[in-house]
Amino acid sequence: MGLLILMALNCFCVMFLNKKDQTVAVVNCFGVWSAFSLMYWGGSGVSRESLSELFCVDIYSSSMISLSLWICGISILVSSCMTNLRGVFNSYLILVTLLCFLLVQCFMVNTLAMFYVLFESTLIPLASIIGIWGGQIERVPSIQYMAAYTVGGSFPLLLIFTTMEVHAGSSFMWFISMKTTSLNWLFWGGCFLGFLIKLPAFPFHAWLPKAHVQAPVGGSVILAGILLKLGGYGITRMMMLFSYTLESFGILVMSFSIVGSVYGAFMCLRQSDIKKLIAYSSVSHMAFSIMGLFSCTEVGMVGAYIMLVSHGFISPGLFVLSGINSEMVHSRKIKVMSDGVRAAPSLGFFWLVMIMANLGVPPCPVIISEVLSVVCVIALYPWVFVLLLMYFILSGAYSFSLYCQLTRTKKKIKMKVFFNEVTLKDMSALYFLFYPLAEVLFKWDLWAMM
Amino acid sequence: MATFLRRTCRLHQQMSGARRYIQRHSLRFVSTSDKKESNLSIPFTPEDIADETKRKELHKRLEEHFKDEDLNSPKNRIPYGYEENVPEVDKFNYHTVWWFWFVIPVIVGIAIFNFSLNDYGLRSWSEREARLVMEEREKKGLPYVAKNYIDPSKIELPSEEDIEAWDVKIKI
Repeated sequence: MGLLILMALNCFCVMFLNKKDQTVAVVNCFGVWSAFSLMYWGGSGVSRESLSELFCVDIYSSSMISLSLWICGISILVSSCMTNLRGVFNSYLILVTLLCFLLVQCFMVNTLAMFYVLFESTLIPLASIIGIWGGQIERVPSIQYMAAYTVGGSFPLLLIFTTMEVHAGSSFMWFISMKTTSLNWLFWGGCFLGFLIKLPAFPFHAWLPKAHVQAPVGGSVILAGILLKLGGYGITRMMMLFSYTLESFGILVMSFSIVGSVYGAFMCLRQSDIKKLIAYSSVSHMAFSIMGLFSCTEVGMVGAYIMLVSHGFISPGLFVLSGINSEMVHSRKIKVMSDGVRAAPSLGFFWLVMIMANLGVPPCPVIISEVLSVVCVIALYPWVFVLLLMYFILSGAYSFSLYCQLTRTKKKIKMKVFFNEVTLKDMSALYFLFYPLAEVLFKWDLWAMM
Repeated sequence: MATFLRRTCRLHQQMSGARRYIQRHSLRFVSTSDKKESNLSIPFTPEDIADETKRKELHKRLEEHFKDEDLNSPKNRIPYGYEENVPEVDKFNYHTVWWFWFVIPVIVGIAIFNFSLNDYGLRSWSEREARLVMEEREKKGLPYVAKNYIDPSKIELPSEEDIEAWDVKIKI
């Protein structure tokens, strides 16, 4: 609650600043709020500082809250190229702040019904951001896809929460514990479909590449950094509700996600659009977190959350780099972007670091998450190792291919590159996305201490 | 880290600033007036930068061209990216962003993770508790780890008649 009050007070103070100073002031506010949110990480179990009638925070919530604040701040920092586009840029600040406010509450609330309302309400600011500042006319169908998938998929969840409220009298997630041994696929599907679509899980991932391609840099950063993680968090809370008794349904979802990881990696290999490539890479990585979550084991939960948090820093980093690079050459094609890397060799270094982090090269914490998720899956069905081996080979192949295309493409078309230098502001944003991974690496066992 | 970034990019940024200067003048190369062109631009292409020999030649030409140019003058300033026109505001914003996004989170984060998260997961407590239990069992002459946590004679199991009435499901 203290965090929300601090956010409201800071926003009120920022309103009285000059329009030019408001952008940096809001960015700095997000840094302060992120530091403040670290207070909620205190202790095992539920955080004492967060307890109130409406809110209750544990390690899963607090990690997501800190991540939301960090990513929303970064999205404003990297959105300088949007100042010349249509609309008023200050409205972008308002939308991002509002979105962050909703996200923080979403991760803090006690009741599943309120969680559902906030979960759905995060769609509105994002759709506005894509609609106003999106690149092309195709942004309209992409918003339609995103809205249809999200709202349609979570409608059964609404029915379940409503039934819970009517029959049990409450949807207070910390007290309710439902045990069921009946194999009701419709029920399980209704509970988890909305969250699986949000993550996104194969085969419900079709909306993500469209949304990412049409979204501006800041929108992609928020979508990849935190909005996808809403699905993982929702799955965690639903599992807490059902005391981790999924069994057959969990195995079905894990099977789809294993296939989805291979599919996503294969699709990355044949992409020429950088944003679509990063979107399909997100599909692959989220498949690992789904495997961990639906294994219903503590090892799996730890692996899933390390992946969610690490991916929340790395994927926005890739989108920031693609934004910088594509602004230089006015194209999202990878081979054309190599001209930008040739003009600014420091970009080659940043691409290498981010691609390696995305691949899971140690000491990036993604490797820990992949190992833990693989352990969970192989404990159930050892022959799945064949598919996972294919995924690791394909992910190495597309990462290597991406780096080679960006830095080693032989120029075939004569193109004039307008040198727009890579500013220190952009490089600062990349660094701010990278250094928290060190904290995740050193404290990776925090999520195991529930 | 900020110093490292600055140093890493300084040479590139100086060259970028020089290139930008050249580009601006190069764009005026196409003129519709009858006046003679002044000795301005040093035209170059991306190949001149990609090839090492050509790059060295270009550097020599640029150094010769700019030898009297003051790189520290306001028109050649390389901004941090926050404000193009006012250098003081640009520098101030750069410093504030680093303060609020690096210094404060690192210091507050380290403080929280060392003090507030002390004994996270009750690790220290469990070790202390284990030592106390070990001492107690040593005094009683019991082994550290026993097969039965509870004395089996104190466990009351339901009778066969009670179990018959219940619907017992065993899942393997």
